[in-house]
Amino acid sequence: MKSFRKELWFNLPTRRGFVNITPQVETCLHESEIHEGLILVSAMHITASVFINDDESGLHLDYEKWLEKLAPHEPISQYRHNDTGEDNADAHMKRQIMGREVVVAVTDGKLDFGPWEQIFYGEFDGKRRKRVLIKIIGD
Amino acid sequence: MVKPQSGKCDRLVNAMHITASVFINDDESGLHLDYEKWLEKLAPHKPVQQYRHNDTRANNADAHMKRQVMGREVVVAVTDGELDFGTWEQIFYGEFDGRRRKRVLIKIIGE
Repeated sequence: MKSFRKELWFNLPTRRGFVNITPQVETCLHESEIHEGLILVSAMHITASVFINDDESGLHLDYEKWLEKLAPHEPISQYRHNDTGEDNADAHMKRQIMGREVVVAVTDGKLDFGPWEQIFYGEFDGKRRKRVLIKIIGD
Repeated sequence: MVKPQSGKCDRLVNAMHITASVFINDDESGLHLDYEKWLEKLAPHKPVQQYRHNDTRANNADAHMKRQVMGREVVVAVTDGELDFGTWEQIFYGEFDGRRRKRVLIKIIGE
């Protein structure tokens, strides 16, 4: 069994945002020379997500509005986590809704996806350098 | 915890009950209070009769919802025999219908 590991780095200029990282993941898969196996793509930070959904800008605006309704950023004093001097408690909640990681099947050297599946990095506490881990195992 | 010797490995940790979660987040007590309050707002336990699941004599419909928000499992890469984590990642068991014996499954594959 072969294995491949790589980190992707992000530094979004905004507090929140979504980035389609499917092309970078496909590049890693090509580099790995693994044809049958599994690929794990996970956020290494606990205020960010990796998830699979539609690359449609309207949906991304909907996610932004919906997540902000479910776990509002302000007032920051509503969260006990923010008593520690942080202001990102809402980001820890948004990340739980959207998820930490995805596991994708690798078949014939490709991501074995349905027609609309795309992999996204979801940032909920940006404006700093953060990482995503890609780990591929297989043959 | 068993640590495999090589780096070619993934570790699955999942709740074996459908009213519990396994998730990765911060080991900070204030955040855990925030989660408790927030989940109770999203899926309140009471009134129990607001849920049709509770017509079955269960009283834990809210726990099935809280578990969906927090997730069932995590998959963690194993590299050089260690959990391949970012700085603050910690694995938690989230209980939403406790006071009884429940299990988590750990499955490790690799070399």
